[in-house]
Amino acid sequence: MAEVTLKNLVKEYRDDKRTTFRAVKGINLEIRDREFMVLVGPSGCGKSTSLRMIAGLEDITDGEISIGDRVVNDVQPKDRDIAMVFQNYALYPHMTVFDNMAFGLKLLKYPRDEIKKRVDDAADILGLESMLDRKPKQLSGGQRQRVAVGRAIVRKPKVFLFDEPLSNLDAKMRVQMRTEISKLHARLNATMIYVTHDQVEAMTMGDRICVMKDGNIMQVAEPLDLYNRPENMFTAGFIGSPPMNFFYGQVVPEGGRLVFVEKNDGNAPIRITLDDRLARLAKNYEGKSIVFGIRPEDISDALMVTHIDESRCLTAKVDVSEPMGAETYLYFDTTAHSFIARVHSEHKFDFGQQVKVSLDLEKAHLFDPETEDVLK
Amino acid sequence: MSETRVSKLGETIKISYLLFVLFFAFVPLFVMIVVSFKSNEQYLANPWFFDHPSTWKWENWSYAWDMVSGYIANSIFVSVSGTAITLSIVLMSSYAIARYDFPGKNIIFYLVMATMFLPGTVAALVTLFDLLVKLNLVNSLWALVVMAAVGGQVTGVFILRNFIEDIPKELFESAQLDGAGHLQQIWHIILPLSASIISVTCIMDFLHSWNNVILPLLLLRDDALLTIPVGLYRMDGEYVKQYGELMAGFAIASVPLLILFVFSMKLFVKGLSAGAVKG
Repeated sequence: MAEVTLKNLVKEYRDDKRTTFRAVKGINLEIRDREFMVLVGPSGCGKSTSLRMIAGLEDITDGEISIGDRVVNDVQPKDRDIAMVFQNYALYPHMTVFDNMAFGLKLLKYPRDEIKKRVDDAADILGLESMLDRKPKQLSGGQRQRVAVGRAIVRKPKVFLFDEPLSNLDAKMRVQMRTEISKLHARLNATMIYVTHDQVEAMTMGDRICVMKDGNIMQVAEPLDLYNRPENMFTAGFIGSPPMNFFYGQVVPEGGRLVFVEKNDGNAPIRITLDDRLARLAKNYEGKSIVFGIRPEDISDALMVTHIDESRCLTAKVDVSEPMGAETYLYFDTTAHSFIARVHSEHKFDFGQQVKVSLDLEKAHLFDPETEDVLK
Repeated sequence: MSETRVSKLGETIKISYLLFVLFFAFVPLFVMIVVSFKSNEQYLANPWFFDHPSTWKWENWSYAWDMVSGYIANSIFVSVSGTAITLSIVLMSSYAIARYDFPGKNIIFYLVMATMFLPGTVAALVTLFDLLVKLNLVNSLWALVVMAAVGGQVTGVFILRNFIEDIPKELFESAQLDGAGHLQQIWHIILPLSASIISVTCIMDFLHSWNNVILPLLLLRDDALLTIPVGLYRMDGEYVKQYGELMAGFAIASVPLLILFVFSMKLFVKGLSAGAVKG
């Protein structure tokens, strides 16, 4: 069993001026046995630091890390039964692919036959059979990353750690390696912890995703849960590309219904009549500030909607139109907010054109502007 | 046309200059070999060129070998041991300074570097001698080994620390996860990756130790313990000067260094340019 548990994990750094910086602020996370957990967040959110603490490459300031039933706070990295794949591959340039993969086993004094068998098996899985005699500099980026993965596989560890392993690859190779790592997880059935700043990697690879910001965990959930039911504005804005649109405004009662009125000084504000679900959520916010969030794909070109509900429509000026082929990204400007709509690509849109769009309020969210938490 | 002429002229000047430098570097060596085959009379009659081979005094070389072989053995012992000890300490201290943060790390490093600016052996001769007397190391080759090991630290640490800092830290971390301890990381990562720069440091230390005159002259009393520079110096001053034997002795003394250079030439040149261009 290889669950990984982080309890109140803290990491502090001290600089030369003796000021303390908290990179990880007491996080709690349970990673299940054989789970593919992705830690995602922007630079400096503490995801790599957390991974390095699990690996034993960083000391823990406070808290506890367990792998399986064992607390590993003071266990040497080599004795944690883990393997790690680094962003820059970390292959030994003076060794062949075979020696790179066999290095750890040689140090553990495995018999020569066993080493050869394990390296050959890993090479077979990763398609590296013909490259075992080459040096890393003779390989492409993707091949090098495969060797790095191979080096992890041969040790048959309980837990695999990946620290942004695809960041150095070009876009095409990244997509290919993404699938290969997912297949590998299915094949090896091992616990994997994967750090990335790329939300597409997180969404496509993870069994669950842990979103981090400023050393805190913002939300842990399965990819679609995270996408459809974000718990705060950060997760809602971070997961999804293009990101969720946010409108700051107020909830105002009008004719027996609650209406969201955009905060837009001196201009005609956007007004959205809230449906029953949203009105129920916003009932305590009458006359107060609120944030209305909606994903770009939940805003449609009104011309393409068959049964149009005028109370859910708004008209705005197109700032930029980005035809992507299957769909078009429309960037609007209300003078107070910019927002993006992901619409069908049947129509051509020009700069400055007034376009009427329809909002799918069933998929919209309301957030408290102070706590930034979603209203439930 | 004129450009070609200018470049040809430039080439000629360059080559002439190099030949000029090489001439002055090699003439003394050539004369050393020439004189090593002569008696004193032949030397006075014709000091610059070889005589007829039938008149060559081969016995100068066998006499010189008997004289200097012991000195050479002493020099090899001192230089090899000094260099080996220097290298092992330099590797470990550079590794620690480059890879780890510990309290006082910078102070230690700057103190080591500061010794570069202190006066050398000559200025500290009296106190050094006093120290070695107290350590009971006078008239012992170990005194020279210890001094060689101590003297080689500063530049070694300076060069190697920078080199190790340039090795991506993930290589060490990966090795750490694979189960490599500190010595294994030095052996499997630093040694192969910095072989050329280490060989330069070693050769420099070896040469410095090999050519050291002052300390052995001061510390060694027994003739059997003399190192090559002091031995040759003694030969030069003893009795009636036999130039042929003396020069043969000098020539034999040069052989170990020539062998060292031939075997390490490639690494040496590579090491001198290491770090000049980042790969």
